[in-house]
Amino acid sequence: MAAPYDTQLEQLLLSAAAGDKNAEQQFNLAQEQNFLGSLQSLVNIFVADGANPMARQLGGLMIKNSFFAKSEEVAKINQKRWEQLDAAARDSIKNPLLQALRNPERVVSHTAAQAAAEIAAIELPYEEWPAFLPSLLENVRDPKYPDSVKAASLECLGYSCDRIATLDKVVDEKTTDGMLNVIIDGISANRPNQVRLAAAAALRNSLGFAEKNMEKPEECTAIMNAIMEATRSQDPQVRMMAYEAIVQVAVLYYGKLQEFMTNLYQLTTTTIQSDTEDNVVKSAIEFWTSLCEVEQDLIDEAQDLQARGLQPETTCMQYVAAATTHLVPILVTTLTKQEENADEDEFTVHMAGQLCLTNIAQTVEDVIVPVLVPFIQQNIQSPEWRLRDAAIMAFISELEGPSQATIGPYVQQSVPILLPLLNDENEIVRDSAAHCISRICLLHVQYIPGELFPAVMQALDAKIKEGSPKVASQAASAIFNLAQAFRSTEEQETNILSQYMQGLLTSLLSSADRPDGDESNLRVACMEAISELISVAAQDVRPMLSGALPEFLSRFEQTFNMSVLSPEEKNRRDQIQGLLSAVIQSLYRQLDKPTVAPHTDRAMYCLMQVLSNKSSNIQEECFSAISAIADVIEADFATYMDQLIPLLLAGLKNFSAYQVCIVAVGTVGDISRNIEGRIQPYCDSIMAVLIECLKDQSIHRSVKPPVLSCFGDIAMAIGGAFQPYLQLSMMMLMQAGSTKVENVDDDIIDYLNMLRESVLEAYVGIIQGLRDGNVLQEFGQYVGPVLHFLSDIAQDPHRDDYVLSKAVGLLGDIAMTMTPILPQLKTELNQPFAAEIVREAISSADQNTVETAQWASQILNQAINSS
Amino acid sequence: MLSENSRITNRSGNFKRTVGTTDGRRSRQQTTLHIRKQRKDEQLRNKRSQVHIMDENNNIMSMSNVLRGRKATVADIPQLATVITGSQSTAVDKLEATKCLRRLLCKERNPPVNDILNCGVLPHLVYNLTADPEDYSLIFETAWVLTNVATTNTKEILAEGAAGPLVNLIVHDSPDVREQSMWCLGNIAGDGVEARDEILRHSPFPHLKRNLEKPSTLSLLQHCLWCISNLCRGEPSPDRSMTDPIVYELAITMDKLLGVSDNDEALNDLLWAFSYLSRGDEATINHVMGTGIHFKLITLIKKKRPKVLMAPIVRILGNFVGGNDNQTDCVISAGLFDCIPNLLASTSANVRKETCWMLSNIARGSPEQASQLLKQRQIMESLVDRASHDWWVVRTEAIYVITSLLQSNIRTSVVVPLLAVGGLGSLVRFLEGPCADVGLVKDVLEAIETILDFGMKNTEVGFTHMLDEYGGIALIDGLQEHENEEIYGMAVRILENYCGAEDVDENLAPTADSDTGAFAFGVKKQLFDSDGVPPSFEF
Repeated sequence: MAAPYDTQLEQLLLSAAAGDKNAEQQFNLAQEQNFLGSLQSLVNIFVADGANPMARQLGGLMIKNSFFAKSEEVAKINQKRWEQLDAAARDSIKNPLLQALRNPERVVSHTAAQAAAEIAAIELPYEEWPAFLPSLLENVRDPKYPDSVKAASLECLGYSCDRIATLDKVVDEKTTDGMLNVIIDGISANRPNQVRLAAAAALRNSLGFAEKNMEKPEECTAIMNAIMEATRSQDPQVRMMAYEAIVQVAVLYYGKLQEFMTNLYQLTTTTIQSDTEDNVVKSAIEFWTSLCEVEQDLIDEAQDLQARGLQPETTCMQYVAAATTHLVPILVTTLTKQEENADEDEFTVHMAGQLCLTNIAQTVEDVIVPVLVPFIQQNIQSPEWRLRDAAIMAFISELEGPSQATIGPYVQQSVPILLPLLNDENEIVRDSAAHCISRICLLHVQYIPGELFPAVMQALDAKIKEGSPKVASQAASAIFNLAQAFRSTEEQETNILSQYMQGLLTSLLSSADRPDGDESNLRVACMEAISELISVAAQDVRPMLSGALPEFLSRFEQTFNMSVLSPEEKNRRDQIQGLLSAVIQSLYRQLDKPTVAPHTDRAMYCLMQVLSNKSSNIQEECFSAISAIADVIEADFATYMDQLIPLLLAGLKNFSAYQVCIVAVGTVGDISRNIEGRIQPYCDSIMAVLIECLKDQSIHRSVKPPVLSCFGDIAMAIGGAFQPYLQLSMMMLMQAGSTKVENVDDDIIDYLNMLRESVLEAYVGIIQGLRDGNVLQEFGQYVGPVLHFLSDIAQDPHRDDYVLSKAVGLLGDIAMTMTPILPQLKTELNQPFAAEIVREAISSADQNTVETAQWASQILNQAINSS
Repeated sequence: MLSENSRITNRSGNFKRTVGTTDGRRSRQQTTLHIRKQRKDEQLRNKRSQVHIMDENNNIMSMSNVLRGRKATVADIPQLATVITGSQSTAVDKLEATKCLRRLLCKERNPPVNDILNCGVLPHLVYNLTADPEDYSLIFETAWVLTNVATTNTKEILAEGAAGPLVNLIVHDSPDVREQSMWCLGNIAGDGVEARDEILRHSPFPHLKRNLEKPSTLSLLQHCLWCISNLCRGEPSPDRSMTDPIVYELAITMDKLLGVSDNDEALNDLLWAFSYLSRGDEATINHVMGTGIHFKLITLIKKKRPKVLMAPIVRILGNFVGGNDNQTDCVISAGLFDCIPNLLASTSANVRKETCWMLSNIARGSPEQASQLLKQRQIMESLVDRASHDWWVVRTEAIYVITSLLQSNIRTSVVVPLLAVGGLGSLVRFLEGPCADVGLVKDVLEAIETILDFGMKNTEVGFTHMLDEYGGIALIDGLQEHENEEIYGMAVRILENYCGAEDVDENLAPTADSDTGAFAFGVKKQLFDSDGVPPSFEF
């Protein structure tokens, strides 16, 4: 039955395998032109025994990649194409794949599993592949098939489930039953390890569809017993996968755990204490870590519901709290397993243990404290460094969760003990001590004893200057966290940081320059600490900051001379430029116009230079810095517009990095507010790009609200000159305002509210702008729809306070500005919806909303009652 | 693909994490959004109020020769001044020019106050306050300009004699003018006692009282209270003959504010006014307490209103309990003690500090009052906690309460209840701190001595071992090196009298270990036996 295969394609595949991009494109083009044909040629090569093995494997993978491509769009299009093929055409691909699953060659069956899984994921939710599950079941059950085929069949099932879940589809009960039959059969203790492993993985992936089965006590017990049995396998991979399946049960079926909890507790704790394989230990720990997350969610949800007078569906059984006294001491032993030479991204048992303890503390809160405290107190000054370090890490893990009243006194006692540990002979201990102080600064700064504050500052300063990159980076982070505690919306004449400011900035800057600044995030931590310190600086530090501005600008200018020959060098340069942009931004937020005036040319030159060089991650910082500059120098910013506009437009067009796009839109608004009419010459091009943003379907939806409200900013800035854009922008706004969604979830509600708020902002801006330009009559034709929109809002049960506040303002604006031109509006404004909006807004908790509502109410009364 | 679904793969990366660019960016973004919102609101407020005043003579561009249809900028200020001062200018132009000045001043950042003062327009502005009593709009706009100038410079306004006319405007026919003049006077009075007294010379209180009686809007009332509060502020306090008549009206206003909607800003100003008015001798306090506001204040604390309101409330109550015994008793019997725990747990260090100060007034009151305080176990515990674990300023005030109790006539009955809540520990910990106040160190030593003395006379073993457990003996030992002779002497005396014969037990457990008893709470259900028997689950 060896079908003829396409030798040309074979060559093409081999070239592609050798890295020939051209070959790959050629193939993509062929697939574009003839979808079915290309799949058929691929499957032909894949099953051809005579073909080059490499080409065969690649052929199979190409089938998989047709539906699971790097680009989600292409995958979606191909899935649609597949759905449109007729049954016979689809069988011509599916049947050979099922056949190939039975191939004794591991490579072939394994590849077939991946390709068939993609198609199964598309078809199973529609019951379009009835032969699939029976065929797999036969493979697993019939002794004539080798273990490799059984494993591949189970893998295929696992992949299918995973893909069905990612595609957000479900399968019916019958299909799930079939799957679970295959899996439970495969996982049983008499099966060889490779089969059990594949079955355990498939089980993990299929649990999401097994809701009905888990509801039936006997099936639930059968599934659980099979997995728990597998945790005792000789093969560490099977044990690990079994635990992963258990984790999945805990996350998906928390309510079913009760019956198995005693066993699960014993299995996991035994594994954590005595299994020799780290990966297995980590998965067992993960059970508790995940269980904590589930319980935290349940507790939060219950509180939320209780506040609304409702009952939660699932109650939190407090398994973690119940286990705390016994589980925590076991987990603490993992803290002494520090790996001295671990890779930075490696997740070790020690880390897993610490994370789990952290989660437990957040779940059980005060309950963990008396369990951990004896260990910490006994060991924090132990002569053995592993114990000292474990004690610090244990303490860190309980910093978040327990109430301030409970943990605060311990924090207070800890500070004098932690300070000398910053100079411990062991680097890991020093690192942990510094991290601990950093966490204290973030979470419990008020418990640092006032009299020790100078000592803490001095110690951190010393570590920044002379610590290893790790320790210095922790110390800089501590300063960042400490600075955040001083954030205030009010001007401060002075604060405690003032006296340390000069010294800290000097130390941080010199450490940012250290040759080992790339290590352990040192440079970033130092520079971010500098930015944060500047942001919270009190007035008495400003003279010093004004001196710092030219210094940072010189540094910025020097970055343009840096060598960028290797990718590492380029990354470093980009990073430094981003960090300096942030510092410049923070400085401009603090200094006044006369101080910054002589330096702004230099600052703008640097920022524009960076923007003309593409690296999305820094562009955000640059645009934010530019906003800060515009806010200080106000109208004078207009001089930079000619040079800036192409860069700004490029940022607005950066649809793929939507964050950049959002920041750039904000910057357009800020500039408009500051230079007002002088933005007018650039509005044609800006408006064109903004409209493009709105039309684009693929752009991230969170870009759209800021774009809409930017219309209002522009209209307010240019007044009557907005007229040419009026019609198009009103069309967009009315369309956005009428967006309705059937199935509402919290995310959608939030988004719709954001959308509406921005539409309202735009209307307000446009009305005010046209009014300034004495062309308000142009708005007349839109008043009807806008009032209709407002009446929709009045009835919207999901409307939030921001929307209400903007709506009542718009109502006032219409009454005030439009009724003199359109007297008939008086009747339209004298409607229940308007009164409703005002009434709701007046009783708002937000003072600004109340004020706006009072104003609007007065204006409305005047407008309605005037003759 | 086997491990892709594992939750563990996403776990690394948070271990000992240091600050990254996203943390910084998030923080900067907050600043940007905050400023953006502020400026947008400001822009709209200007636009909306601009329209508000122009409805009558709907014509913005009447100064067409000056502005030629564009908006005024700082550069136009000299020309605007010429229009205002010019004898040829029409009333409409003068009004328009004044509005332009006001709009320029309404910017929150760098308002061009100096540019306006430099162009010599101020005398004319003050003149315009009284030039034509019928021209409401011009008076209103002028008062607004002066209000904004007063945020940075009050000297020149007062030098031009604005106080008298502004005080007269408090009872003008137009509510807008009334409100604006009070706002302006409030700003001026806030600049200091000198500026305040200049206004007081023109007897503003009767006028203000009339506005309190019949406020035409909530916003007017708010500015009226702001003005009153600033006029009462500062030492020496204004003469009581001026302020007494307003006290009852303020109490009535407070009822109104509490009855209608929660207007915290107005309430805040009102409460501060009371805090200034209740500062003084017994008669002053009597007059304010005569309104019965202490009952309402205590209710307010119990309702847990925002912490901004707590600061003035605690100050007022503190003033009251600092009065004579009767006055203190009144406040206590109104339920003061019930609300102290809330205040001592406040997130504002200032409120905690002021609360301790209030308690020290009670501790130094009559023996009955001191012993009533002593019976409040929750307060005493919390007080000892404040004395041990808080910002230094709070600790000092809290310690002061404890030493005051131990100096009082009932000191012997203080010792045992105080020890029960750990008071000795807080005294010792205080000695570890950086106390520069020699007097207070002496008080603390004296307090310790009182305790030890009591122990020696009334118990078999004395309290010296407790002092040692807290590490006190070592500390007092160290004080023998103190440069102050009296402290040195006290330290020697304590050591000789109470610690000489005592054999110190080195094996006493550190205090931190001994308080695990404090943690026996929070566990819903004890599911495991504590001796390690295999657990069985019963959920």
